[in-house]
Amino acid sequence: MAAKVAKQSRSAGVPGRKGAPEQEGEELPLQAVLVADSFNRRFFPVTKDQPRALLPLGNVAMIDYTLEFLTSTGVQETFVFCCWMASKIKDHLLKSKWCRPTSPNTVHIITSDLYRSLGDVLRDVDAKSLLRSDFVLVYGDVVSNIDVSQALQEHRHRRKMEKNISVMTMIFKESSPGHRSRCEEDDIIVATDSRSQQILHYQKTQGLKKLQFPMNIFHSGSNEFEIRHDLLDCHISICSPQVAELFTDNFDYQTRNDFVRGILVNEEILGNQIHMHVTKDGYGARVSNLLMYDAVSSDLVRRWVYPLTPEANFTDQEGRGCTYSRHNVYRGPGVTLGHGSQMEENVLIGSGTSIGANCCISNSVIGNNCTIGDKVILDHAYIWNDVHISSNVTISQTVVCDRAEVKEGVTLNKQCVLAFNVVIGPNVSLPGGTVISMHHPEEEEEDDDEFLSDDAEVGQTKDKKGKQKMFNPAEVGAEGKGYVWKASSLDDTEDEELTQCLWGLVLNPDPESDSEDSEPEGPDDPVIPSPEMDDVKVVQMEVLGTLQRGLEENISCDNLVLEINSLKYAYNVTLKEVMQILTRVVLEYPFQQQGSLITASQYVALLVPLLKIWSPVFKNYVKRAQDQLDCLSAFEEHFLEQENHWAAMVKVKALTMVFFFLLHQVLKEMYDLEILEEEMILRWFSLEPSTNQSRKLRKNQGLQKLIQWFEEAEESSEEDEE
Amino acid sequence: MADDVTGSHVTIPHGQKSKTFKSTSEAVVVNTHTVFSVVKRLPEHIQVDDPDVLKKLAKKLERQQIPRRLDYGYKVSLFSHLLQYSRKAPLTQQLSIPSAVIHPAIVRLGLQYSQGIVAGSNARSIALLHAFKQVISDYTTPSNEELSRDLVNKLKPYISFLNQCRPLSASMGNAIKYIKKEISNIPSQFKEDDAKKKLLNCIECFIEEKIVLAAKAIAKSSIEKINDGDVILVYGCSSLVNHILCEAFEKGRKFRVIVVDSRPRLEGREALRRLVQKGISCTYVLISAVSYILPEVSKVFLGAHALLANGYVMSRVGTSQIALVAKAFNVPVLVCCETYKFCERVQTDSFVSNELDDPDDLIVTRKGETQLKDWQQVPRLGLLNLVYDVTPPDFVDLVITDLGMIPCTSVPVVLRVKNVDLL
Repeated sequence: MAAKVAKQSRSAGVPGRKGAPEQEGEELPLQAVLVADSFNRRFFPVTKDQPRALLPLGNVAMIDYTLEFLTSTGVQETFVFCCWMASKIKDHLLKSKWCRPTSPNTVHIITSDLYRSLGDVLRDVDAKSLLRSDFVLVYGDVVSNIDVSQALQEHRHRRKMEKNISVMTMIFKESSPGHRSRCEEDDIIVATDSRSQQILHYQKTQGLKKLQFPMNIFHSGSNEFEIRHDLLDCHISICSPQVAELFTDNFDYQTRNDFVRGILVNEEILGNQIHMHVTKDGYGARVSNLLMYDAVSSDLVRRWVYPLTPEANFTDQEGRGCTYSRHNVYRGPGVTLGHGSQMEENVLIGSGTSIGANCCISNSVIGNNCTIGDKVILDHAYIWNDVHISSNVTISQTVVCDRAEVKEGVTLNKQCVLAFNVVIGPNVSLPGGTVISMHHPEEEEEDDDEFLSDDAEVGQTKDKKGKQKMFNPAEVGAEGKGYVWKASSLDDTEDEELTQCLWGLVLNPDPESDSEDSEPEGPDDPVIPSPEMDDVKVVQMEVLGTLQRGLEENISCDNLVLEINSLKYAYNVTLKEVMQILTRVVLEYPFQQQGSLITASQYVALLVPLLKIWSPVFKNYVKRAQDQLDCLSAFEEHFLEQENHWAAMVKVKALTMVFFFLLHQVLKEMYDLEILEEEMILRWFSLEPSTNQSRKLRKNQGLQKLIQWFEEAEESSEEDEE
Repeated sequence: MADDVTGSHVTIPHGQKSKTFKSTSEAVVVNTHTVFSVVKRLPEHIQVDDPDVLKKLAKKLERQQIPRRLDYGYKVSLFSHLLQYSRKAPLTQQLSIPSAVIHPAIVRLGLQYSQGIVAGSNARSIALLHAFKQVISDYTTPSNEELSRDLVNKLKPYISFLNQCRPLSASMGNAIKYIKKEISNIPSQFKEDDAKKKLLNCIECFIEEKIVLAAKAIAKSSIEKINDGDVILVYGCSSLVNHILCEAFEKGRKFRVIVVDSRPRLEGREALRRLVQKGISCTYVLISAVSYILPEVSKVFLGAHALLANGYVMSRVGTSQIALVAKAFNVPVLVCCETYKFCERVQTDSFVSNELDDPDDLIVTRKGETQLKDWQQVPRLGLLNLVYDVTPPDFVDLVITDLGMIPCTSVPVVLRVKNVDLL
């Protein structure tokens, strides 16, 4: 651990670290952990030059909002953990008012290149035992004015009442679905005990239309529950020191989500609980993508985060005060506005900026020392510092980073991003969603494949290759400089992810299929907590691998069953699903081995010996009547899928073979089950056919004959009994 | 010119007025048409402090088997002649079930009025007319009676019941007058079914012509007054003004709306919700900020509860204040009002005839603290929750009605023309 600890304990009032922890009555100073790194690449081409915590929001770095929030809520000691571009953050903080001796909030900056996640940070906190009592955990991009003191009191009260049971209090803001400050990808659903405010279930909805709740939450103590979708996670949590220990104990916890899920799942074993606090009038949001950046900026300008308003100049920097006038127009000192220019509403203009004539600006934030030409139309534009914009430019919902230049006649459509130092134009129109950076995207991929974090050390090798490669004038204009990060033709999934990341697009690629995936589990087996969507597929792959190995290495069926069972528990899938997967794997096995172009007879020839080998496995899972039905429906599903390969007739032949085989197998073992088995097949046959195809299948002659045969057999057996 | 018309045709002889009315009562009810020998009685609900009147009212209600609503709480001295109700004690609680006297549709309507579920003069009138339709279609004439006489008598207790639930609005008064006239106009040889059909038809016509079509006509002429780039200030929630703004927006006018609201009802929120739903850009302020917001306003559109014969506009309390401030800022004030809300009463202040709402509405809870919780225990403390005020014609630049745009002072002319129509 090459962690470098830089302590700025300037204020004399910092108490010694060794003081007895948590003595009754003694009021320890409230501490906070501020993680000034997002550990993801949502803002990527932008964060390559500046860490996310320092990106300006309303012309003030985001971390300043977080620190102001912590200070105003009564935090006296803050540990800022930085990783990516730590030196920049450190410089910023050293210059800011937080490190002045008069600051009521002592800021310690701790930097390390080895942090890869929130988990690492908290493990380090635990290793250094920095915290003595309950602390506030926030990210460096949280903008809030919530007073957490009430939540803190509740938290402390809970911990006093029941010793150390509650480890965390999460703070939520009430905001109805569809509210601007709610980011669709972060939508959550929370189930709580309405009396104790204990969180029983916490899940991101991610556009799902159907949600599942583990049954056990309804069996626990209380009889009043709330399931709420009107909450916004402010990403502010009050944690007890145990949280850091828990992160150390569970080295696989990476994010707070992992932690919450882990605590909730293991509640009965470890006895830890998480509670929530819902605030109605405060404001709290995390700038997790550019869409949120847009929303939070406009909320800030519209004074929802009062008292954190642009004109308040809470960072106490000189020359940053601005005047506030009607329709939320803020003007810094030295702003010049040309003749006929209009600032319609919700506009913030930083100091030293000059704007030409006949401009129309609305819902925008313009940084310091920018120059803007004549006849410029800005709407939802976020223009940072030292930007040059020439005349006749139209910009809507776009972020323009520091020192960028937009030449004459350029149109930037919605959701563009111009990263640092980019030059555009003249006379080009960028399609919506274009991201332009001075870094070449390929350079990025080469250097940085193994990291998923902002903090990869790639910045050093920059530009060498970039300068050799030519800028494409068709994309950035004749005098333009910069590379397009996202072309309109998206074949690379990485790119798709990237654009999604930047603006946090609402277009979740296939929410439909997601929700359908969850359907087969249906409401009839609610006891099992909802498995992850992809687990079924993973299990299928695993089962296939297991069976293959079993065949190759001649592993006994008992051992195979053992392995499959362990898969079932590892991925937490239901018995029903295991059986469906097993059936599917076995039936597809011949295709796996021989390719998909084999004839029906070949298929059957291959399948039957396989079934013979694996029949004990089947028998192990197909025991109850319901299992048999499920098994049959899995068969049906499979054969319907294979429609394209064979004519129905052949298919039914194969199906019949399988039935006979199964019957045969079961017959040998248990006579009692025979009748049941027939009944099950008849019942399956009489079930309402769900699709046209399955109806066709059932009308097939071969199958009819088989059924008839069954029926007769049944009758005869009944007669026999008489 | 219109002033001229008023001056010459409608003359209210002052001398006569002072002779015929008691000097104690400031309210005057003037029948502008025909001779002034007929003096209308003062309504009971503005003489609550007179024990004689109360006794008479009690007797009348007893005869009609209608429960009387009781006064509630300590009243501010200037308003002791008005009734003050509590929403928590609705009149219907005292009714026996099944009520022999009152039709269930009327009971329901009364409850809706008293609880404020149906509010706003248009909504109240329409609800009343629909309830009467129900009553008429359920009505059968007793064997030895005549429909035109018996039905009117039957409606009387209903009306006094509704009046007990909440004092009738001017628009409702006009609607009732119309229905009564239609009933008495039915010839005695008409069969009952035909008569009922005719009455139902008349009520339908009234709603369609006087309310729905009137709103359309008003919207049509108001849109001419809305220009692109206008900033329009509205107060509270007037169904007519909302209709006008939505129509203008659909016609493609580009304007901004400022919704001014006031406690305790906060009806402006409903207006805001409706306008925003249409996609109109809105600003919401409380009435205390009206002088701050007015410099950017280009027109003020106000709804009206009633237009009085002397040109005063009776409307939701706060309207006159807005008109006053608008006048001071030189912003034109336009009042939108259907002609069926025109009223023959004359009133020059808001004290004489008004309505007191439930004083408990003024109590608010902020951050878990209720400041006025025990106001009844403080002996000399009264809460005043006035419902209406009157705006002098000086502050109103134009009244937009279904007959066109007129100045306030032309109300008597309209009333006279209407009365000729009725005859």
